[in-house]
Formats: sequence, structure tokens, C-alpha cells
Amino acid sequence: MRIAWAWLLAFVAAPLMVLAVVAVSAPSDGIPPFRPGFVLDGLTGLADPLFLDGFFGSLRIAATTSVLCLLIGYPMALGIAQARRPDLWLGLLMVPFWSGFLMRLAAWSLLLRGTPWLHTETAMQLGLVTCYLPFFVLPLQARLRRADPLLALAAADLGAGPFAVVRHVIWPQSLPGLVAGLALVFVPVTGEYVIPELLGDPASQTFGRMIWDAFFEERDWPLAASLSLALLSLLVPLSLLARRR
Amino acid sequence: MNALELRAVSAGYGPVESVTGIDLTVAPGEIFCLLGGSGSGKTTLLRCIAGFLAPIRGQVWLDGTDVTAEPPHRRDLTTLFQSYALFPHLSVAENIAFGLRRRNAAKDHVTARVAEMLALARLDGLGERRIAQLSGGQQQRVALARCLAPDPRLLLLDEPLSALDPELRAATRADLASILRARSISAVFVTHDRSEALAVADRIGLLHEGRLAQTGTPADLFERPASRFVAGFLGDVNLLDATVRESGAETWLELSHGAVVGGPSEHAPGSKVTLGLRPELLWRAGDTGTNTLTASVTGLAYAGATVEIALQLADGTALRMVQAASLARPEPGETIHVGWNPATALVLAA
Repeated sequence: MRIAWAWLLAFVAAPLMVLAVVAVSAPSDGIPPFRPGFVLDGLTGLADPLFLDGFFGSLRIAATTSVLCLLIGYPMALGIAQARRPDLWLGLLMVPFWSGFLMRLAAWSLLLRGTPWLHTETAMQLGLVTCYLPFFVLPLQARLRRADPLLALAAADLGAGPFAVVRHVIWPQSLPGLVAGLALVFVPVTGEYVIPELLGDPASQTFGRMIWDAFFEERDWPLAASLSLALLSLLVPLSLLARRR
Repeated sequence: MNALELRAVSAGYGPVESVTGIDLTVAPGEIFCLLGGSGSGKTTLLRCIAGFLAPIRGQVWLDGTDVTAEPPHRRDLTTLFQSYALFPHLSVAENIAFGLRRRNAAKDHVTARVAEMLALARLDGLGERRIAQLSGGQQQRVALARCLAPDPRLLLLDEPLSALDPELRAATRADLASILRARSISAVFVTHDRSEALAVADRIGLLHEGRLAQTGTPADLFERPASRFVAGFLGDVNLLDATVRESGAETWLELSHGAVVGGPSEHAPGSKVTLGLRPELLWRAGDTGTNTLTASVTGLAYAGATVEIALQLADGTALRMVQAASLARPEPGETIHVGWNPATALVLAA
């Protein structure tokens, strides 16, 4: 128990404190590029409509990815859960992880070169969905495999056709796994930087890219820290809500 | 028209046939017990009837229609599963309504029928409960109500009492039988428990290694078993080797130490048979009459209402006899005479 608290303190609470301290510091040209103090410029800077646009844009992109993962991933998870050898299929699902994340994106970039889709939202969604799909399928299929297969038989026995069995028995029982999977997609995609940068439209601003720009391009650490805190304050309650199911 | 008819059904998993050449019929309103030990194929047969397993050969007819090729949801029957298989995400009332809703019953009808079933299963006021909030006995009754709500042509019961505590089992068994009889429900009741089958069934089909060893009324199987296996499965029985001297309405048999009389048989004189004597149908005879065996007492086992007496015949064969605890008991080592009513002595193929 104590170790868990110490771990949380060292790796979660302490970095958050640093982030909070930076957020209320003043920007400076030195190293590090901020002066400790209590200035609210970083936080008030969030009110800029540019950031709000990026914020809602990121939420929209994350929602789209989540819905796509749901549509593609649910039948996959169901297929894995009902397969004769589920672990084999699960292994195949994991094969892409054996190659590097950036390698996979570079591969997409190469494949899309010369097509009209590279550096569009379509290409970005392609990258997002292919990268995050396993994270959606994994908890969902675990949940589906835990469900008692006799219940599907009982439903059929009572007159439910294959679709009704899924709709009335399998789907409702899979909801906790579904929510967990959606959270694993939605939360990181909202803050995703690399995929929008490599495959997305350079003109469209996502939240992850704005944080990157603030840190590395403008060297405005208080603003970047404020942006990060704003994202956290949205995503943390969302994850907690998902866990409560 | 039969509620159910199996025509030469063989079924199993993979290349192995768990049941072979099963022919049986269930009349409307009849409770048919499929009795058998584990591995006898009774569950395989039940899955065939429900449609969860396609037979390798043969046909399944429901109510005069060949349903062999129909999937489970198109067969007008319901199954009471051993573990109940209640939907944990639905309330009691929603569980009961499930079959009605899948049949697109009108809302008013669903409501009325669910209320009727809740009353029938003595679950009034529990309609909104979650399944996890119910006792084992209540869950069993929800499962029954869920099966009966759509008014199926046939009810399949897969060891419906085995998950209950022994104290609850007898009362639930009586409850279940009276509900099925009151509503004239045609049912196939699978069990491994002979007393359950004898108490509940109109007819019993005894399965042994994938084949029907005998089909008949409980009395048929108990009093006129077709084989040593049937005699032994339906109740305790002493089996003695014998040779037929004369057969007919009564059978004169030659045992190692004299002639005795058994029930009717058609075995030819001189053929080797087995004499089956049920321990509880033996009594202490006063002396060595024509139809008695002489044996020495080797032990007594007190069982409350009865006492089981272990005996040994002169040739070393063991014999068991059960008598009421109120009767005078012999002492171990004592020699006694044992008699029986010839009509109750089974003459079986060797």
C-alpha cells in the first residue's frame, strides 16, 4: 500500500505539481525558459479562440476515431471471443506492435504518397484507427470471453435470432469492456501529437500539436503547461467516469 | 400427434457418437424422463432436441413437424438449464418477458403474462429484482417461469433440481411436477437421479452407453426391468446366478442350493439366467420353506427407519436385505432364512 502511494507521489503527483508551478510562472528567455512566480498569463492565454477551436477539434477527431474503432472493433472482438482459438487471433491482432510505432506511420505515409489523401484528415484517421484499434479490441474481447456462453444459447432457445442474441444479451453484457476500450482510445487520441503531425493536414490544429508548438516553437512553457493542465482536467474526469462502470 | 418424436437419432461431437439410434415419442401433456448416468448421452440428446446440436443421422419431429434442420430459435420449445442461465443484466420480470418479446407479443399481453408467471412461480413483488439478489430456489423458479411464459409446445428440463440444496430439492420437485401436470405441459426431464425420475415421470427412457436400455412407466422399469443394468439402475438389487427349470407365469429356478420361485419369464428350461431380489422386498422366513434361502448374518447397518442386513449364502455369495428398524434384528453370526413373494423376484437374462 505504502509503495503504491510512494509510486503515485513520485510519478504522478510530483510531475503534476511541476506542471502546475510552470503554468503559473512567467515566461522568460533564459534556461529554463520561465521564472517562478504567480502569473496567470499562461492560464488566461487559454481563452484565445484559437485554442478553443483546437480543443473542440481534438475532441471531434477523438470522437470520430472512437466511433470508427467501435464499428470495426466490435465485430472483431466478437469474432475473437467466439473463435475456437481466441489467443491465436489475439496474437495476430498484436503483430503490428512488433514493429515500431513511427515505422508504421512512415509506412502509411509511404503508401499514401502520390494519392490525394496524404496530409488530410482521412489519412490521419487511417493512422489513428490502425494504431488504436487493438487498444479498443483488447478489453472488449476480454469482457466478451468472460460472458457465459450458455446465456447466448438460452436466448436462442427462447426465440432470439442471431442478431437479437447480440442485441439483447451479448451487447448489454459487453458494455463495461466497451467503455474501457473507448476510454483507451478517446483519451490518448485527444492529446495525440505524432499521428496528426505526420499524416494530418498541416493547417489543422489539434491540441497535441498546440502543446508541442508552445513548448518547442514558441518556448512559452507556462502556456504549454496550462494547455496540458486544461487537457488533463477534461480527460481525467472522463477516465474516472469510464472506470466507474 | 406426438409432442416430440425422435426417429433413429444418432448424435455426438466430432466423429464420436454419444447416442445411437434413439427412437422415442413424448405424448402431449406427458412428462418423459431421460434417465442415465454421466456419459450416458442424455445431455447430448437434449441438445439435439433443443437444436444446439445437429444429429449425425435421424430426425427430430415437434408436434408433427420435422424440425431437424431448424435452428434453436425457430423451435417452439424452451429449456430449463441446469445452471438456469438467467440473464444477469435483466430484472426478474425482463427475464420472464424475454421469450414473449422475441415472439413479438403485444405489450399488454407481455405485462399480463409476466404477472401471471410471477404468481405461478410464487415470485410476487420480486419482478424488479436483479437475478443476483435472489436465492437459489427463487432463481430456479424464475428460470421455470421464463420457460413457461411463451407457452411452448415442449419444455426441456436439464437436471433442473441438481443445483438446489438437498432439503429444497424434494419440495421443489413436487412443486415442479404439479405445475407441469396442472398445465398439461409436455416435457422431457433429464436426470441422473432414479428417485427423481420415479417420482416425476409418466414414462422413463433409461439411457445406457448412448442407447435406450428400456422405455416404460416407472413401474415397468422397476418391476419388470429388461436387463440386469436396468434392474440395478432403478434400485438396489441382489443378483444371483440361476438355471431355469420351468418357466411361465412363475419361473422355477435352480440355484446352487435348491430350487426357488421367481416372477414370470419366457426363458427356455435349462438356460442360464440371473435372479434379481430387491433387498427391501426380502423378509425373514420362519423356517426352510420351499421358497427360501438360508444365510448367515455378516453385519448390520442401522439407517434410522430401516436396517440393512448383510448376509452370506452357503456358497459365499453376498446378499443384502433391508427391514424396518422396528422389527427384531438378528445377531451377526446367526443363521436366518430369507423369503420373498415370487412375483417380485426378477428373472433377468444372465
